[in-house]
Amino acid sequence: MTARNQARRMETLSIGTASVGLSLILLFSVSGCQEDLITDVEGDLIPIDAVTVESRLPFSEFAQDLQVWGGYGRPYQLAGPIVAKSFGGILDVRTVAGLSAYPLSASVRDTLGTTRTDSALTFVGGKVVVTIDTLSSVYDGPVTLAVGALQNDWDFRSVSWALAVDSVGDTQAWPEPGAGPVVNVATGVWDPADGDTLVVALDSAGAATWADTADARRGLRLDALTDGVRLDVKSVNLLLTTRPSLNPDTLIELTVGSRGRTFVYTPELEAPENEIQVGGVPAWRSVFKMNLPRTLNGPPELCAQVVCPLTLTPESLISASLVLHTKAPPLAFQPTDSIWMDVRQVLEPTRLPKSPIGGSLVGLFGIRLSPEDFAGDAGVEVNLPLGNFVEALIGARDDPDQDVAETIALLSIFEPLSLNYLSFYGPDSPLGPELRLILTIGEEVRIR
Amino acid sequence: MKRALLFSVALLALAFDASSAQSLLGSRGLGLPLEPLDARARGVGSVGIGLWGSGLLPSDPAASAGILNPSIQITIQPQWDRGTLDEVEQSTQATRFPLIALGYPVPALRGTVALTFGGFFDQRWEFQEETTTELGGATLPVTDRFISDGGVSTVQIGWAQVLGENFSVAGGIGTRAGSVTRTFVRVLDSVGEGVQVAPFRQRGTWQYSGLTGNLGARWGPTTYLSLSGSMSWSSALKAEPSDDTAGDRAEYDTPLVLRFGAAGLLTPQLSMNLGLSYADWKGSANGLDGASVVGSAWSFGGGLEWIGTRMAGRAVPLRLGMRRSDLPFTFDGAAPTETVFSGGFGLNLAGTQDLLGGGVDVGLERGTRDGGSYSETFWRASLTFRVASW
Repeated sequence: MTARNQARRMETLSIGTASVGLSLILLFSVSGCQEDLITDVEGDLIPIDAVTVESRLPFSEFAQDLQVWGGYGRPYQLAGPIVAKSFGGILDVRTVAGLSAYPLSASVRDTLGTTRTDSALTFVGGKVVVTIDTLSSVYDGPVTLAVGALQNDWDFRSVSWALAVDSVGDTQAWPEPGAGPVVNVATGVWDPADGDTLVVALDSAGAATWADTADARRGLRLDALTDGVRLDVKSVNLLLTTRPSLNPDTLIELTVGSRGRTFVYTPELEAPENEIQVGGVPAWRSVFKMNLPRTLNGPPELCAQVVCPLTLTPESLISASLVLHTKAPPLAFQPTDSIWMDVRQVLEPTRLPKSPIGGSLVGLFGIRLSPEDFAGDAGVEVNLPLGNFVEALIGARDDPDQDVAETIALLSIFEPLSLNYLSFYGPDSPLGPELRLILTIGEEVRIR
Repeated sequence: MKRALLFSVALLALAFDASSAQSLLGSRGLGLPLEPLDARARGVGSVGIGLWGSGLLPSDPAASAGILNPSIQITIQPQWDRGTLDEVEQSTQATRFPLIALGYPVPALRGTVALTFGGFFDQRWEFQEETTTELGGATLPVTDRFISDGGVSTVQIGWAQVLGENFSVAGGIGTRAGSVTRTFVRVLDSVGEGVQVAPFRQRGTWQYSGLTGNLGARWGPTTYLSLSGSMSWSSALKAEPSDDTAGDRAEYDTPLVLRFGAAGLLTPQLSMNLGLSYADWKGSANGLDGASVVGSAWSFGGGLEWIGTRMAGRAVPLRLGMRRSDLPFTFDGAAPTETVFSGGFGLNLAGTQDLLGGGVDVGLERGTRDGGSYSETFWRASLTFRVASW
């Protein structure tokens, strides 16, 4: 390469580098080209006149056929069982837990320090350990709990206060309602001041209660003996104390496996009249069919701002909410923690209560309702946003290609979610459901 | 160098999404004029005619007659505005692509084919207004926005013919293109707990069409003087609504534009240019609010170009200019004007062995626009990439 060519190459390189540099600078400046501040002025700079109005439709003008369906889910599907005695004056709840067969052997360190399997265990006692959720439980001082041994066959998935088994083709009642009778094993007093755990000690006779390995109905029942309490039970475990034959000077504890746990309660609820009910266990759903009007012809405040009758269009609808007023359930069933509520389309209403349902209309996490909303008689207003659904309903009326399920169900976001349920005033009440529509009616956009 | 230029163009392509709203004056009439000028013309204060030497400008079609090699150029134009309306300040930033041009000389016929894609009117602007509304017995804040997005551009093909030693003529025809989408948005806030409110939107889209043509001539009576003239004619500009637009179609008359320019060599390394353009918008009131159209719209400007500076062995032209233009549409009852002081430079990136010629021109303008209750100052940068003989 000659010196001249080299010089030219260097020139070309430097100019090319300058070109790329300029481009980078310009790209930087261009990529920042966004509005800093859009104009905020009064005057005629918005060439469109628009008016925003609100209309609240009573239930009879936007929906029909309210029904309350129950039976969704079972108590065993809840996170933990419950015990209660005359809670709210009416509610009794008992925890029932199935037990596996006792351990037949254990690994034991003998007198020489060697770990060996000992299959000649002697159970000299035991204990039932109950852990209480102190935050969600309702109590006022120490609570006496009783441990009993179930005496009948039972099915933890379908058991109820009255029935030990309630499955397809097999219904068996308890000889004594409330998962009875039981053999009383022991009692204990849980004092909240001592922590969240109650240990009920068992003597050797108590430990022998569930020792029959051939007894498939093996189970314990946990009752509250103190009135006016409701305890949320986090865990119930049976631990056995055994003296191994390989090292008789030592006592060891063995945990008995669980075969499922649940609870039974009374009173069982009936579907309400003229009321919206959601949640509980088994869970309730309130179902009704939407029947939107084509036009709005009132109230006078609306027609004072727009020409009535006003045709409902998807374009003008900017908000639609189902407005409910909360109603306090019986004290025993009032929510003590937040409950998330959901709204879904019922896809085949003729198959209710077993119709498939659609996706959530109010979002993935539902609408959170706090326990305070259901504590007083006055109730509070709850808005369930249904904008997209109502817009689709309006649009489907003039579009035969759109098929929108018009029946919706109000339900808890998981079923079952808790023993407590949500209650709202029904259509015949002055505080009954309303559909709150917010509409904006604007002039058409013109080019000039 | 070829790689460097290609990389530069690729970088610019990445920037296309950056466009945003521009001057509030664009909200009137057909928008803010977006003249198809390159960075060199901007740097010397040109009105689009009468530059020394050849060039690819649709407003000076005869200038392309002197092009020696097939050429393509693209111009990018970021702009920063800061304006005041009724003591309310606002600022906007936007980027435009006012001119893409292709020239292809046909030596056997002593002529040049020129294909240009240039701006005509910019219609990107946005207003926001904070108001209140009564809803359910409560007074709620409302934000109204009106957004115009789009503009009118021109695609044109022309022929420039050299006649004799120092005279050339040119003519071209073209079509208007582009579209505008106008959207009204109302947003309510704080309606109530648990109440979801979607923005209300109403929009319309219109597609522009129309014919345009131009004629131009250039004469060099001496070796140090060049005189140019051109006229641009347009049919009515039609705006057809899209199928889902409720608004009507519209049609606007646009005036004949006359331009005159002169360029001269003051020294072998210093040239000077002067230009003047005229359009009478009085006849264009149909389709527009009559009061929003100014009468005669004049533009004049001029500047100097110095080619004596060299860097890395190549000439680096330096430019200065000034320009004043009437804008065609009134704002708040007043006829706005734009006054600009400009400067710029060029980098010639010719590579003799690569048979590739090219360059980058940069123009920077500092200007003001005044119209009734609104006034603004702005910086406008122009960058033109030129590639030839590839």
